[in-house]
Amino acid sequence: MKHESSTDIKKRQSSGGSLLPEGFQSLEPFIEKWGELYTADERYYARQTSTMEELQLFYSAASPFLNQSFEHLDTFSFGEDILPDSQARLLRLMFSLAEVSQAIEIFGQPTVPHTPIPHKAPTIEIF
Amino acid sequence: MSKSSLQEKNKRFPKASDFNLTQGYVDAENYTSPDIFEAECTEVFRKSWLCVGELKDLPETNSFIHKQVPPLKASIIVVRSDDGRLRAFYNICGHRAVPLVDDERGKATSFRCPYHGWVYNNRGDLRGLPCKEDFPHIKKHEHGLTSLSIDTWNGFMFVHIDAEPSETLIEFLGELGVAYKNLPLDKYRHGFRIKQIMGCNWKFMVNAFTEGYHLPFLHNKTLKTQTSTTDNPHVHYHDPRFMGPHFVSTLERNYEWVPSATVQLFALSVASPAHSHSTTGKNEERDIFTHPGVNPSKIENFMMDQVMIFPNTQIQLMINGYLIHQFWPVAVDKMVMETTIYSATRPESYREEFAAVYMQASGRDVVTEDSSMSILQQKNLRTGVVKKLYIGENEPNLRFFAQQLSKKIK
Repeated sequence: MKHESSTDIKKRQSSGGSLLPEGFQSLEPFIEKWGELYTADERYYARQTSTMEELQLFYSAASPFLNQSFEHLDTFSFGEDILPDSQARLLRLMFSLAEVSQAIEIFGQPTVPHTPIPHKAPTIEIF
Repeated sequence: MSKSSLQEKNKRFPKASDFNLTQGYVDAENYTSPDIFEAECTEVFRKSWLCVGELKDLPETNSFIHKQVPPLKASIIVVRSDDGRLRAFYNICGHRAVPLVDDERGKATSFRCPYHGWVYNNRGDLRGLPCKEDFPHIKKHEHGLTSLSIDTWNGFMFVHIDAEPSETLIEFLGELGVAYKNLPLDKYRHGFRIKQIMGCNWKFMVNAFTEGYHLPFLHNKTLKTQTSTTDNPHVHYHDPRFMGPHFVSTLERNYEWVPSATVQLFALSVASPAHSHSTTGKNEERDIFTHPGVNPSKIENFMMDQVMIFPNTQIQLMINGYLIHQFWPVAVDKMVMETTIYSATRPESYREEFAAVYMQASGRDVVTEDSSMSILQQKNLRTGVVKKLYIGENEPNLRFFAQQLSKKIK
């Protein structure tokens, strides 16, 4: 997936390009913080270093779109790096929601209790 | 509670004393003494069969894996050689001790030392050395790679540092090897492996993964609701079985628990059946559950059999999936924990990929709850004021494990 800088994002916004699929535009303000995280490490770090208010803001905005997002995304064939940019961005937002929900739904605080911040994520190998 | 139901309960959750495990503490020095740590490495790890992976890690002839085995101070190569045989070697060139392999896995018919180009075939024979006329004192057939003994059980590969171990793998596994033979694990080929270094003695994490007493407290926001029931609020393990130095228990799940939070509910409803809380499903999808060795006490709300292979490998057999935890000592106050979680299928849609991402995050957080406690315990032991760590009647596995270790190192 191509990484865009925040200047690119601003440029596309001002020229009217669509950053997210139709119907998901209300999530655009969250792209800069939560839509450009590409790995589990990056998501975990962002969660740990955010305030509860930041996490709650994103969670409240994004969680109502969970079902709708996958109804939309699953109309595309599944595989790595084959989603169009705006769908890939939506998927990254939802992956961030999976991480942020641990703080909001489970712990009621940004981090795992009794754990130094930032806690280094373990290495994860998927096979 | 009536007398009969109390008796029934005591039968289901036997006390440590029922197994003659009467010592209710371990000396704190077992977690802080460099001498005891060294004794564990030499008397336990260097004298045990150690699990280093699974046959499915070596899918083809010439496949190899390269693995760190800290208590042996070694990195080893496990390879399916060109003659089809499984072999294990120290990852050490016979010339001047440089490691031959960096990659964690791959395929190779030979291993070439990056330093001076000595080359070995994948049966471990020295095949060539540049400027060989300058090494008249090296006879190739005497300078193959140093091997370890290797054998398999249920597809798990075990090594032993002795060329002729005093007991075979099957003898080492004993009763446990028989009770759990022919487990249907082969079809579980997808999943993920989590690996992390922790600043604590390895036994703290073994302890955390062999008792349920802490679940309603430490994991009160994570595992509690899924495991604690009105009948068994303190999550006693069912039916502890001690087999040689190994031990097994059965754990129950609270099937009345239904997630209510939006994202958790979505993820768990999509996640593969191995991780879901459903007891339904076709028998062929529940094949681990139907193995005769699993859940011998026939608990209806079965969650897993927790199989602890001494000294450092735990296999959790669930209804239709499994995972392995390995606890590797590195130093008296440092360990590596590796967890591999298997499922029969890989994600086939974006929502399934989301569920996998969710399970990885929540699994990591649960292990972090345990590792954070272990690290803090280790810190507090550095004060020197703690002389004993106490183990209750409800923690028979911990008493047994401590007893087995102390028998070997004294």
